[in-house]
Amino acid sequence: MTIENTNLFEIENARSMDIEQIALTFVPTQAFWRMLSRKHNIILGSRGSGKTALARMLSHNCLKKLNDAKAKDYIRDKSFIGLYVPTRLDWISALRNKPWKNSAEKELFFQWFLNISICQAFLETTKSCIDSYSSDKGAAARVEAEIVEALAKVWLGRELPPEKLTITSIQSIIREIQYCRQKEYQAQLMEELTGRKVSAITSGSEFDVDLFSPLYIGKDIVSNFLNIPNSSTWLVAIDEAEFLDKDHQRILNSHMRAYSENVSIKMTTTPYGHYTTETNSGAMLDPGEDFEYVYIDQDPVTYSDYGNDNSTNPGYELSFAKMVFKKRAQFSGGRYAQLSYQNLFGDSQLLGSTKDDWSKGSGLRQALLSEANPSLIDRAQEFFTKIDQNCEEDDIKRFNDSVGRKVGGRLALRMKLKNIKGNGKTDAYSGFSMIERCCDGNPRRLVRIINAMLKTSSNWRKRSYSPRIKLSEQSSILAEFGKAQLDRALPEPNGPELHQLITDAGIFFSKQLLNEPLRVDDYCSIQFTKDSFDHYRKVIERGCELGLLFPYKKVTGALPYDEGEFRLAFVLAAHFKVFPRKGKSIDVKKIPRSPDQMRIDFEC
Amino acid sequence: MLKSDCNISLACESLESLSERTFDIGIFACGYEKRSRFFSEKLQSNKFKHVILLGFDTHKDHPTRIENEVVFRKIYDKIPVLIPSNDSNTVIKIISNVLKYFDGSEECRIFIDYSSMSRTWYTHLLFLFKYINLDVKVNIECVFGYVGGLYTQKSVHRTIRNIYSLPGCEGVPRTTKGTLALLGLGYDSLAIASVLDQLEPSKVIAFYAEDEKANGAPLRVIEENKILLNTMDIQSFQLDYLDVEDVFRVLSEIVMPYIDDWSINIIPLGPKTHTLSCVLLSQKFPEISCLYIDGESKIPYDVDASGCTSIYRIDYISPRKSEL
Repeated sequence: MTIENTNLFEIENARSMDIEQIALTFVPTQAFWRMLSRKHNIILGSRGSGKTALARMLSHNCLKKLNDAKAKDYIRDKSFIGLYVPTRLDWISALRNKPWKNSAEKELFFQWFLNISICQAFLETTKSCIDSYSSDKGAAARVEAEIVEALAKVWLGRELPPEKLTITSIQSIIREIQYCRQKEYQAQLMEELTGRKVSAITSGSEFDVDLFSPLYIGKDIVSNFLNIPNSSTWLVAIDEAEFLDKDHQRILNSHMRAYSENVSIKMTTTPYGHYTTETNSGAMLDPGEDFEYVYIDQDPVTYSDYGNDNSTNPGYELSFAKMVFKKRAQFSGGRYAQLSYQNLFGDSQLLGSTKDDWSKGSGLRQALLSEANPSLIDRAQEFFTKIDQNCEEDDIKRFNDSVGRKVGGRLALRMKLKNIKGNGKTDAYSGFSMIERCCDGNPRRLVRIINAMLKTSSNWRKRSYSPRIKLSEQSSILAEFGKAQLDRALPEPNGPELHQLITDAGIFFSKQLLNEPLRVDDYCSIQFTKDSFDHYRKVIERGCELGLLFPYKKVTGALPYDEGEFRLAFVLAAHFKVFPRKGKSIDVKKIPRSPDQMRIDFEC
Repeated sequence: MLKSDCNISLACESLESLSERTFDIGIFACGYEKRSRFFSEKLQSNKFKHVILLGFDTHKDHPTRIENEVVFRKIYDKIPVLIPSNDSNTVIKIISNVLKYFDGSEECRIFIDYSSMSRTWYTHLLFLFKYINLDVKVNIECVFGYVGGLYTQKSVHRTIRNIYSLPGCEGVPRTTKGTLALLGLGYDSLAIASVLDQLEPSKVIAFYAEDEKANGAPLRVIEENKILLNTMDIQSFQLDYLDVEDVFRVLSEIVMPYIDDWSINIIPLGPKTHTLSCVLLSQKFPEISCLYIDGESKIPYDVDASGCTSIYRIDYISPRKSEL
C-alpha cells in the first residue's frame, strides 16, 4: 500500500500525518509496547523524539491500523481503548491569556476545558469503536444513534432530535458550548477592566464537574452498547503536557494518585517537563508506585547507540533509523519507493571501525604512531608486535576492543580534517551510519536531514541514474543542519546561554581533537555536579528539551536527573568538527570560554 | 461554521481626508522609532479633544526616544504614561477611563497611530473597541493609522517570553483534525522556527509583505527566511504591505476551505498592518486562533518613516444590525 504522490520525507511530525500515514510509517519501540498497560505513565522526550506519534498510536483509530499481530489482538479483544488528547500550544494559549483572580478559578476553568477536550477525543474513539465492533453499516448507524442519545442526556442534560443523533452533531454542539463560554470570559474580562458590572458565566456548566467524570460516564455507556468488558483499559493519552503549568499538572497528578477505575493516563512531556509530583491531596506522587517515567530519548530501540541492527531492535532485522527510512520510502510511492539508504548515502568512512585496516604499513597504523600520545603509542605497539608475530584473530579482536574501536574513527577524522587545503571542505560526515548517529535517535531530526539531503542533492534533483548523494554534499548538509539546530535555541528562554555553553564546549572538544596528541578517550561530554547543575539548571533543561544535550544512560539517580554527565547532541558533530561519540566528560567549570573570533568563525 | 458575533467593515482613508476631520480621542505611542511622531507632526494638535500618549517603560534614555518625547511635549504638551510593552490591562484601563465619558453618547471618534505601538497594546485596543461597540452600544468610529518604516539595521533576534492567544481570538480548536498555521513572516526567522517547532502544524501557509523599497531586488523577508522556506513544505505568497482590507480579504479566502474541519492558528510576525488584518480575521471567524509571540529584544530598533501610509476606519457591526 502506498500513499499516492506523497513524499513522506517532507512530513516531519506526527501531527501532520493522517491516520493511514502514521500507522504505515510508525516503528513500534519498546516504549510503545510499555504504554499498552494499566499503569499510568509519563513519557519524557526531547522535541521531535516521537512523543506525539507514540501518543497518537495509542488511540483506537490508529492502533487498529497498525500492521502488527499484537496490536490486532488488542483491538479484537478490546483489551485497550485509547483516546488521544492534545494539550498543544494553541490549546493552552487560550488558558494563558486570562487574568485569573485566584488559583481556584484557574483550576476550574482548566478542568472544564480539559473535560471538553477529553469528551471530543472520546467521541472520535467511540466512532472508531462503532466501526470496528458493529456487524454492518446499518447496525453501526443504530448503535451510534443510541449512544449519542444516551450521552446527550448525561452530558448535556437534554434530548436531541432524531436527526441530531450522530457523533458529528454532538461534537458540533460541544464546540458551540466552548465558543459561548469563551465569549462569556471575554465579556467578563472587559467588564472588569472597564469597571462595569461583571456578568456570570453560565455556558457549558454541565462540564463544570470533576476532571474525567464525563469520561467515566461516557465509557460506561459505550462499553454497555459495544460489549466492551470491564477488564479493558481505557488509555487517555494527554500529549504535550509541557505546555501545561505546575497547577494544571498537579490536578492530573491527583488523578494518577487516586483510584481511576480502568482508566490509565499516559502523559507526554519534555525531559524536565513534569514540573511537579505534588497532588491536591497533599501527598506526593510516587514514581514507580503511582506511575512510571518512560524516557524515550533513551529507548534502546530509538537510541541506536552505534546503529547496530537486530541487537538494538529486537523483533526487527534493521535498526530504528533504517526502519524509519525504509517505511517512509516504501509508502511514499513513486521514485521514493525504490530508494535504499545504501544507494542514497553509502557507507560511513568513520564509523564501523571493526573493518579498519590496522595491518603493518597501513595508513591508519602509521597515523596512530605519529598522532597519538606516548602512552597510547606504547599500548598500541604492544598489540601490533603480537599481531605481526602471531597473526591471530584473538589478538586483533583484543586490539580492536581496547584501542581500535575507540580511536579508529577519531583518527581517520583527524587525518581528513588535517589534510584539508585552503577553502576545501571535508566529506567525512557522510554515509547512512553517520546520518543515523547524527540524528540522535530522534525521528524528526532523521526525517529533516534526509529531506534536506534530497532537496539539496544535485544527483537526486537531476534524476540522475545514480541517486547517490555526493559525500561532500552530505557532509556540508550535516554541518549546516547542525548549526541550524543549535541556532534554534537562540529565541528560546535561556537559549542564548545554552547556545554559548554548547559553542564553548564544541570548540573546546574540536581543538582537543585536532591539536592535542590523540588519546584513548577524548572529552566529548560535560559533567555537572549537584552545585553546577543548580547553577545551569534552566540551561540544561532547555538543552534536553531541544535535544542538544542528552544525559547518559548510566546517569546516577532517578529521573529527572539533577546531576551527572550530559553528552553534546551528535547532530552538532559536523558543525563543530568533532567525532560523534560520548567520550569522557569534563567538569563544566573547566570548559574555557572560547576566544571571540573563534566564536564568530563558528557562527558564520 | 460557528456564527460570528460581529461583522467587520473596513474603509481606506487618506492623510488628506484625516486633515479635514476631528477626533474625540487620539492615541499615540512614544517609542524608539522616529516614525512614532509622523502622524502627530502631519496633523494639527487641535484635531483631538483628548490625547492619550503611551510610552514604553524601558530604554528611556534611548536618543530617539528622548527626541520623540521633546516633539510630543511640544505638540500636545504631554509626557507619556509609562507602561511595559506587554501590559495590556493598563492600556485598556487608561483608554476605558476616557471612554467612560462617552457612555450614553451616540458615537465616539478615535484615531490610533499604531506605527510604533507594541503589538500587545493595539491588538488589545481592537478587543476593547469591539466590546464597547457591541456590548456597551457606543458606536466607536476607530481609525487606525500606520506609516511604513525604513529598516536599515540587521535583524535582532528576540527571545520568546510567552506565546498566548489574544483575547477574543482564542479560536475553538478541534482536538483531532489537522492544524493549519497561517504564518505571517517577519525578519526574525529563528522566532518563526521556534514557534513552528512548538506548534507542529499539519500544514503551513506563509504570507509576507512586499517590500515598498525593493525595486525588484530580492525581498529581505525571503532572504531572512530562506532556510525555513527551503527545508519545510511551506506554501508562501506575497501580500500588499499597506492594504489592510486586501490582506483581510485574501486571508479570509485562504482559510475558508479549512474552517469547518481544521484547527486554524494565525501567527502574525510581519508588519503591523498584517497583524491588524490577522486580529480582525480572528474576530470575524471565531474558529481561528490568533497567537501572539511575546518576545524580548535587547536593543531597541530605530525605524524612520517611509512616508507611505495605511489608514483604515474599522467598524464593528452586530449581526442583527447588518441584517437590517
